[in-house]
Amino acid sequence: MAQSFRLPEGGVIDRSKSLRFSFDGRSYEGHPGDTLASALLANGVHLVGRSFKYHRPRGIFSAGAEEPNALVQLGEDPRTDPNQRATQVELFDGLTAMPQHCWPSLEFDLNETASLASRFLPSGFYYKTFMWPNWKLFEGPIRHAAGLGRAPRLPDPDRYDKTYAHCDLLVVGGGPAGLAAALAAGRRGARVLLVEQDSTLGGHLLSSPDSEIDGQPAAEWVEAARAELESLPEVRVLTRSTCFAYYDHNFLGVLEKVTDHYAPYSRPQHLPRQRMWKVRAAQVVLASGAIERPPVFRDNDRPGIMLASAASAYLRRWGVKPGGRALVLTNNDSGYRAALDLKNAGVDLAAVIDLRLAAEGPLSAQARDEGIPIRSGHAVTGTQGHLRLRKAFVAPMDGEGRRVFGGGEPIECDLLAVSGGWNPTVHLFCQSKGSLEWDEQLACFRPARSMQRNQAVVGGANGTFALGEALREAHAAGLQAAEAAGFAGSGSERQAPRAGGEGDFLPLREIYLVPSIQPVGQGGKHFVDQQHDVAASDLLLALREGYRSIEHVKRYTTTGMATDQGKTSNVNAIGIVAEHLGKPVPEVGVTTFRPPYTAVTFGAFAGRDVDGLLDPERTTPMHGWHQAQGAAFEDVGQWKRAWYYPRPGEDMHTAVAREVKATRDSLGILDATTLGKIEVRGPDAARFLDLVYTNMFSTLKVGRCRYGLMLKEDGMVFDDGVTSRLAEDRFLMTTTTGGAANVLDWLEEWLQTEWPEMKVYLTSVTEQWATMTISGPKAKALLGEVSDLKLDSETFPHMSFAEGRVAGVKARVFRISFTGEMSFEINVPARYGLAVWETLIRAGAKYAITPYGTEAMHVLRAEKGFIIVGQETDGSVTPLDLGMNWIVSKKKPDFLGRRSLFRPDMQKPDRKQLVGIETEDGREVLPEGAQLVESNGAARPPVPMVGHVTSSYWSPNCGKAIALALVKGGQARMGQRLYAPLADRTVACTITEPVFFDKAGERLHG
Amino acid sequence: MVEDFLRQSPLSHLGLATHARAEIAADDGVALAERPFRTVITLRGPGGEGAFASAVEQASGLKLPQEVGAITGEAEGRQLLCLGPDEWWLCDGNSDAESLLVALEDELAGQFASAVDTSDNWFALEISGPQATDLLAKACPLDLHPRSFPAGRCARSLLSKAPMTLQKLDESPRFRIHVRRSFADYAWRWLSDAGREYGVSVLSA
Repeated sequence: MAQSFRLPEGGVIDRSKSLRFSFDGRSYEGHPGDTLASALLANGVHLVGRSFKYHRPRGIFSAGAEEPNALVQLGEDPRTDPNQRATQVELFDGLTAMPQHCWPSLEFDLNETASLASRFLPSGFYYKTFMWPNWKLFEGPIRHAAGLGRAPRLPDPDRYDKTYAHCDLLVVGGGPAGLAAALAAGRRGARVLLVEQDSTLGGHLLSSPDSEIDGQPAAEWVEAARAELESLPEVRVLTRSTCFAYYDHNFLGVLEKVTDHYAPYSRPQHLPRQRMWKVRAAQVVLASGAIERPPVFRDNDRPGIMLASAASAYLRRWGVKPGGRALVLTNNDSGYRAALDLKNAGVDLAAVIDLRLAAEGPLSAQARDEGIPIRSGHAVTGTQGHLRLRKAFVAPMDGEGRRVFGGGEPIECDLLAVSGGWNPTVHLFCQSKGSLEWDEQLACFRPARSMQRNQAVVGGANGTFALGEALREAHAAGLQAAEAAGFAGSGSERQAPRAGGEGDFLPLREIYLVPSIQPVGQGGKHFVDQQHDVAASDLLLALREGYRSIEHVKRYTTTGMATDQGKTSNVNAIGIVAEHLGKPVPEVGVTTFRPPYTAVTFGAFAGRDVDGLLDPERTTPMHGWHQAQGAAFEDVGQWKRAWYYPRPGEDMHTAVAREVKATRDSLGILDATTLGKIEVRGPDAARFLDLVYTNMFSTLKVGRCRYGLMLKEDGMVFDDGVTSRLAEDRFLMTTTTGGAANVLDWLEEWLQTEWPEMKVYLTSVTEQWATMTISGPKAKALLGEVSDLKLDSETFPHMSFAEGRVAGVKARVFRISFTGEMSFEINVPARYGLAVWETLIRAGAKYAITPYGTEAMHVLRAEKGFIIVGQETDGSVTPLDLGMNWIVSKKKPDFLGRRSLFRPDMQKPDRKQLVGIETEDGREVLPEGAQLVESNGAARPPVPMVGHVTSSYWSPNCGKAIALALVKGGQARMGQRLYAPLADRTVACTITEPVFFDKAGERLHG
Repeated sequence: MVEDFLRQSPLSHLGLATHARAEIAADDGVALAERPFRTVITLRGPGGEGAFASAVEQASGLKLPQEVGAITGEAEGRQLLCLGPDEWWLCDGNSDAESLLVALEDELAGQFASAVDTSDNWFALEISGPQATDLLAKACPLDLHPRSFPAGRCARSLLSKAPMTLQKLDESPRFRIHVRRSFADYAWRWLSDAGREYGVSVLSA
């Protein structure tokens, strides 16, 4: 299809190449350099979507990030992105886009009837249904009718990158001001990062290529600036990169779209799709420009109505005529730029409607000189045209600008370019908590007081609209930033770039709500927020209903809360509210600016921390062996631990039962590497351990081991493990797998903040050692065969350790047991872990050595009634509750948690206490977490809960189900019956001692 | 020693040797190399020029660096890294930990100090190549620019979600990082993935 609205020449596009794309199923052509919006307009397509609430036809309104209407669904599943601004989507060959939120078609949308019912759908309608008659009546239809694009249905196939970045100066914005600042600082050698959201540098100069800077045409100056910046080794320029967030201490987020502008099939495979930059900047210069403000008039949302600056941009940057017959509505001199550009491009220009009483300013004068008809003191009172603007009505206003006279003269036009002044793009400045002031002359909010050190706002973003002034301001800010970062000037530096056109920004006429013939709200809509379909009548309704704070008005009407965050609507809403309340605009104030400036896809936040890299998977030296044996793994913190080793045909239950049985019958082997290990050294090591454990360690003899329980200050169990005395002043502490890091932090905290006088050093050696536990009646026999240790109980008794060689490797061996069987915990340096493990497996074959996983370990220890911290304890359990009074020293004057432990409430007999539970039929394994009650289900609720099951297993060695539970006053309830009410039945059970197997503990000694 | 035949790198499952090269490939931006079995002895003791410093110097032949982040010694030989006001690493690529440890214990006898063999607690790898800094910047929040982190400095930081000790060996640039042994596979896979856009050469260990 011909690009019938493409001008024969001009624009920053490559006419030598054509790109095919489709929109709404139809095929079109554009050129490299086009956005989807400019290419659509070149093909005469204005209608691109339907509005959020009323399904009104909407067109392309702007040429940038502020676009409220032209949102499209880009691409196809799984590479589809909703709510993409056609004005910022770079065209590529094969691009496909669909309009959003219309059914059955863009031209004919059944939901447009919502427009007819709009008087019954005022703002706050949604909230009111919560009160009356019933939200549920409306929820379905509203959810169906309202909304924007749709999320992809398939997992995202793209890769995303994240990086940290540091710089002396971050410049946001690659327009003239940003370039001037970056050049000034970059030339001094400062590390400068310049980010520009557009695909190319230049900012608004791209739409006014004939402006002059330093005597050069703007386009040439921009090109020279780009080349110079690229030649500076410490300067990095990022295009297609949006600074979307500005946090405290000059920490900023930048989203770089790395390959979005390639056709999906030609995207370089080695590059990520997008990259998130987390920038720490010593200095920040915000040169984010300004966004034109549209005047609010009746039916101001039709396709064909666009910002005057956008009309100029389409003409000059993209060589596209945005219409055949144009009308311009403005309240300031800058609107005449569009009029002149339209006329020069040969567009039939009907007139400029100037809300000011008299057109003044250099551009106005030039337009008058060129014979453009100007109607000052006039207003556009309404428009017509369903899928495209057809005519506008123009009438003279009274002196106050409150009323219009007459019925309004119809003027045929398919383009209405509008300008209501300019808003500095203060989003990032405000995100960084800077405050604004109202500039009476320019009628806009400008940065007033920065809340970040080392921050400057320059150019349009600072309300410095004249090019020459903006360049000077930016240059000075760049120099100052370089100076502050330690880069002094040489004395022979270049001056600020010079440009004409200073002071040509004349006062505008502040009319936020352009009057129409009928009162506001009747006969048409004055849209304020086009994306959320909020009209002036909605704001007035909110005021009538008593809302006064602009934050409340915003939330009630949802103005400014759409994906564009009110870039073209917020100041108008504030102006209308101010006017209606009879207050000055600054007294109404602004709403809060929050990140992101424009939407950021979740993929970019996730980066590569997904799938296999979501979180570190920590593995032991024997991990590969477990995998080769087909082990199932359990996550314990970040560790992958072998859970059980199913043989062919075995399920978890059978595998675990086999492992448990084999260990008690002959020999089992467990990978216990993940246990935390801390070397505690120093003359005060024993005294320190006496304070952090409930029991005594200073009495422990060298070469012996002792189990210890650690409490928090509240007296609750925090961690446990065996600690061995390696030498007089040297201990090796072990901790639970999950608690290792917390315990080290906890001990360091006490050493560093409470007991700094103690001479103790802690060193984590968790991963220095590969740890394997052999357990069972044959453990001693096996160890005897592979080591040079003397294993008789005199030399190597229970709860002691020895050093020697195991499988030829120097090892520390601890004779300690968590199964109740004779066990040896063999520690070798991690690099030898696999070799030693494999030797044990080989040598143990004659004893049918059976690797057992964490599940079997849990069963084995539960048979013995040994607790697991985090399973039997949950931060509210004391040693007394666990029946472990024996481990709480009565002699020590103090230890962590002691004071809490001996408070009366902690000694109460009705606290939940650890008991054993056996089900009545002996076979039923209760679910862990089951609640326990005293009645069998006949009692009426509420039924008091007396306890809960903490561990529950089938015990092949006992031949019955066993469980541990915390039960109120449990220790005094031995033999009592309790009930576990489950979803479909109630299970009767009996309270027992928590030791089920080898109660005398004889097996420890072989 | 028989033990040399029994030892295993935590990356042995990746079979890196099969595609390892002596030097970075011409069109690759970064190179990764594992450096298993290095000696790392964790030293704790009082800072300053006192008995501890001279004992360490006697045993190691190196001055005890006094400023956190400073290193003494040679990148390829023996080094002392100052990682905290009372914490150092004595690293060595060649000699075994045991003899060093014995020497340290001898010299430190009677002092309040600690020397613990942590060689297997840590795993070292090196990142080099023209884009090594860009690659590391993806994982590490520190400013790695030569002005802020010149060659010969060390720091504790994060490699994405894995705690690491980082050294810059030279400005070519080349970095050596130590992560806990169990994080070796994560660190390697993370860096290989993040380096994809630059091209990654695997160098021999």
